[in-house]
Amino acid sequence: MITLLKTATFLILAGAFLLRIPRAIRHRQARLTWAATGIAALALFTLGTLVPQAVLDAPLGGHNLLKLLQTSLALIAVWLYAQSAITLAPTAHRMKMESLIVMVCLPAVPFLLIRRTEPTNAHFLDDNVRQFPAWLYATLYLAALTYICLRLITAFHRHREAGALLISTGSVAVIAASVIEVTNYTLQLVGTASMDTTTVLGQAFNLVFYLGICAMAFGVAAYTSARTIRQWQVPRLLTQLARATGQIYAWNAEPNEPSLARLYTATVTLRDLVIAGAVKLSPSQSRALHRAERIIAQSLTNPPRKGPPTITTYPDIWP
Amino acid sequence: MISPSDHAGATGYDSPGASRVHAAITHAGLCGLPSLAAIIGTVARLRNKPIRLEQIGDAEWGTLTGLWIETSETSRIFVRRTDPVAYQVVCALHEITHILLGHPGCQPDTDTVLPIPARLLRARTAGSTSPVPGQVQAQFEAEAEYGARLLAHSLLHGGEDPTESRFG
Repeated sequence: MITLLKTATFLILAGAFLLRIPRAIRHRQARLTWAATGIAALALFTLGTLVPQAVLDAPLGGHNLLKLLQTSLALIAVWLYAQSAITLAPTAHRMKMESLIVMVCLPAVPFLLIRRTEPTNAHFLDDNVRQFPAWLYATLYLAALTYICLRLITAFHRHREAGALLISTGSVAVIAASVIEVTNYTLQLVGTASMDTTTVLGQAFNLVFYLGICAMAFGVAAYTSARTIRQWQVPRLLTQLARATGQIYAWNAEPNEPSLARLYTATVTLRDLVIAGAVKLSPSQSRALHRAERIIAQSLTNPPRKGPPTITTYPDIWP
Repeated sequence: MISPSDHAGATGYDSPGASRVHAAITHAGLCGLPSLAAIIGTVARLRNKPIRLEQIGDAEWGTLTGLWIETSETSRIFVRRTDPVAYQVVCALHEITHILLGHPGCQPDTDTVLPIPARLLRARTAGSTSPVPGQVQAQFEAEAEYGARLLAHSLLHGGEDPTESRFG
């Protein structure tokens, strides 16, 4: 099951990376997460579910240096996602590039001190965790990952869209898995863990960690699919609303407008007619109107919120 | 962000009033502002008088979807909080355009009980925002609606919120 999860996550991320290439070329602000998606896909590729790890590790000397590459790529990818989420709030404190360099380089030092005489092995770290440098490397890596995930959760804490919820939930799972793994490795280092405990904790880590990574991948894919679905829906909704408004829409129609602006005009026109009792919508037309109004509301910069009665005086602080 | 200049005739309204509305909006610097709040704030500063936007209940409002009531202290704009958000934005901007253009008040074509005594008021009534030749009040309503939709279109950020533009 874990192998399936790893493969599925890799495929989702690789697919999102490829699909977003044209967008990354056209939109500068999309490049950070696009790069993160590619790097995350590469990190998952090094897990060896599609190409054996021995083949990938061979150019690096065949003594498990691939593990360091894999964890470094994972840190860079999650850091890029977090940085992109943090920059959504103009007042938030960005993470400095130096912090990424420290988080990647610091675990590398103990990693290079591990006695790595055995050939490529997927369980290299589990087998060597009684070496203090191996424990230190794993702990530093997972601590860094936990910190970045916490920043990601904080950056998304006010967001309610599906993508943000999936990424946040995935981050929580990654943090929980990191705690499990550090506990497991610490118990092994001090020699108090039974084989059963180690096995159970190891399996729990794998399941929780890769479920978390999979949720994060689905979160990224959710944003891409939401945009694609909306682009597909707008022209169809316009046709449906135009049919519902009939002649009156023709008065409002302006063929040279961008389709979203035309959709806005059509929704307001039709809502006016509904309130005035001039048209009676069929259930499908009513659904189309609601869907169009939701799309428009999502497309407005800083719209007022729906909810209890509010009174706002502008400017907010009147002298 | 979509600029009003991309939408000449955004509501199919082509009378001389349309150029007056366009000029007033451009002169006030309302194009390209980032939110409804910024637009209302800018108009309030221009007039040196606070504007209150009130999202209230609509049980007795019938076809009345927006209301501007001018008192000596404030300009008060009422919209119906149960209406869709995108629709509320247009209704609020409709009243803002009346204020910006300095339209005179009138009696609304409704039995609505007004929430406060008013010196001047205008109301947006669903289905009565089209220009009617020879009718001055209808002309004011058409101008306000034209301005509202120009401004509303300028608030569209191309169909994506900032999160989606980064992650989508």
